[in-house]
Amino acid sequence: MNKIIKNKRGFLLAEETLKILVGVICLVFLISIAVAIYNSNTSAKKIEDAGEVLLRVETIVSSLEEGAIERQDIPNPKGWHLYSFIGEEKPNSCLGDNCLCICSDSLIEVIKSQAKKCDKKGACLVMPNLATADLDLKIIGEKESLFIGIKKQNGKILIGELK
Amino acid sequence: MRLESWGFYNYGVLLEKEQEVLTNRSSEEPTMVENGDFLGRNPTMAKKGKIEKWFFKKESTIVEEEKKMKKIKGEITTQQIVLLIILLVSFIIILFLLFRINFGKETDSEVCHNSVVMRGSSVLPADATSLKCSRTYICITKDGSCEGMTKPEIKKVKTKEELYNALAEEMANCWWMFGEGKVNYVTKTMLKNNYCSICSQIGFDNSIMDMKDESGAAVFTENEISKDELYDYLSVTPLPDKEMNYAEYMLGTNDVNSFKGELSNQAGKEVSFGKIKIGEQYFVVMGITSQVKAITWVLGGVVVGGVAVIGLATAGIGTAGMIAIVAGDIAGGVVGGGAAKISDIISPKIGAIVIDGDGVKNKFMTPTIQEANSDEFKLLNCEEIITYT
Repeated sequence: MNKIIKNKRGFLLAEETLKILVGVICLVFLISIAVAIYNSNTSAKKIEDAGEVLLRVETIVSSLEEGAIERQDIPNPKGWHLYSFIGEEKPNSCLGDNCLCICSDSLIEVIKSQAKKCDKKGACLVMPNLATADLDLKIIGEKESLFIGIKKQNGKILIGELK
Repeated sequence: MRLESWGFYNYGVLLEKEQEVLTNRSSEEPTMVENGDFLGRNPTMAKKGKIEKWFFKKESTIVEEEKKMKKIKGEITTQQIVLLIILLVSFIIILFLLFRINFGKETDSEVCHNSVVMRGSSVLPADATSLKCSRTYICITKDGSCEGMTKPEIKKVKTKEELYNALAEEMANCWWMFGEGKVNYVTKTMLKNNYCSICSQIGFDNSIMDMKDESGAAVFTENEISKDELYDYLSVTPLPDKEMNYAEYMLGTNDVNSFKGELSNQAGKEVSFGKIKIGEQYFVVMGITSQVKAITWVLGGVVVGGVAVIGLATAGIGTAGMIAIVAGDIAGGVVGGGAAKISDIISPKIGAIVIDGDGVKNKFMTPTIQEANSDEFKLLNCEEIITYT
């Protein structure tokens, strides 16, 4: 009797594990497809928003006087980040110059670099005189806009978060 | 019970439904049944069009079979696990290969082409559909290395022909993505004159300079690739799966040299397509005019950094209404005010060729290769870039 119960338990365990495994795989696939479809529809709008923000920044920078600080809020695109690239690795769209980008963050930076991610999902503004290194500011959303300060100092452009 | 009087109960216990069948049998049929004998069909299931056969089975046989089934079930589960593992491993290998082949690029092109066609279709309002076209980043290299670009798509080339083929493919793909001059993908609310699409950004790695021909001599001696040779290649090389050459596909004519000759006659000097500097980055760009405003490609009409641009039409060569956007350094440096003349331009270069749309009123700037953010690129007067970076 005991043997039968043990056998049944073992049998059930193998079968159920298999079912759960298959279920989990299917679930992961379905979720990834759903996320991909959602992202493809929203990222175009986000890239447009990012482009508009960078246009505003460009206008500010072009009219900025030496030593002056300008404040700018960035409400959109929600969840994306503001990055500065002045090091060796830059997005290709920056054409080798320093640049300011608004892009989706790369979750696996080891495999896919942030610069590469910005080429795929983001917008960049080429600013040869940008001097702020490793800027990474998250755009939280409309309720809590990200405020940045843009300063011109010795011909260089400095950007930082204003709290 | 009637069954008992027939005397075959010794063979085992009949199931209830089997008994029913037997009792419904005619008296002519054999009265004795053996283990495994066919008893009849389930009449209810037969009405539904399904065949369900009943057989006589001894109880001992049923118990044995059940035991056997239990055993077999266990074996199948183990087999299934092995099969599933094999399937999973195969799937991972296929996925890996798919990523290696990079079908992603194909998909991006398809997505872009579909969005362009959707925009151009009269079924949906143009503003309801957005263009989903993004720039691709390519590096053409000989040894696989690529300086100055971040993780681009690497295109390894060994010969000059392979290099021209890579460029021809990019230009043709760009033309295809944006509807081959047959689709009006600018909406009525887009009020600017010229809309450009940067299909790819191509970096030319310095390793191209190491390219040697059959005799061992360097292919590119002056750090430059001739665009005239590229257009010659486009004029004589057929598109894969199509019965026409690249030039005919994009420009509507294979006679690029006659077109160039006509322009040279008008200019009174040699007109060329210019050169590509190895080590620099270039855009593969094409464009469309807005139907709302101007009917032709509107040029900047100004001189940018001593470089001027003019539009030149040729008669009777290629497609009707073919216009060349000719740019080049202007004599005497920066000229203020009025537009330049072709005679003012020193060594004029064809920046792009503009042709009439096929079935649409817009004009199209056919794919051209221009140095990224150069004066020549600016003189194309792209008032808006509609591709994402």
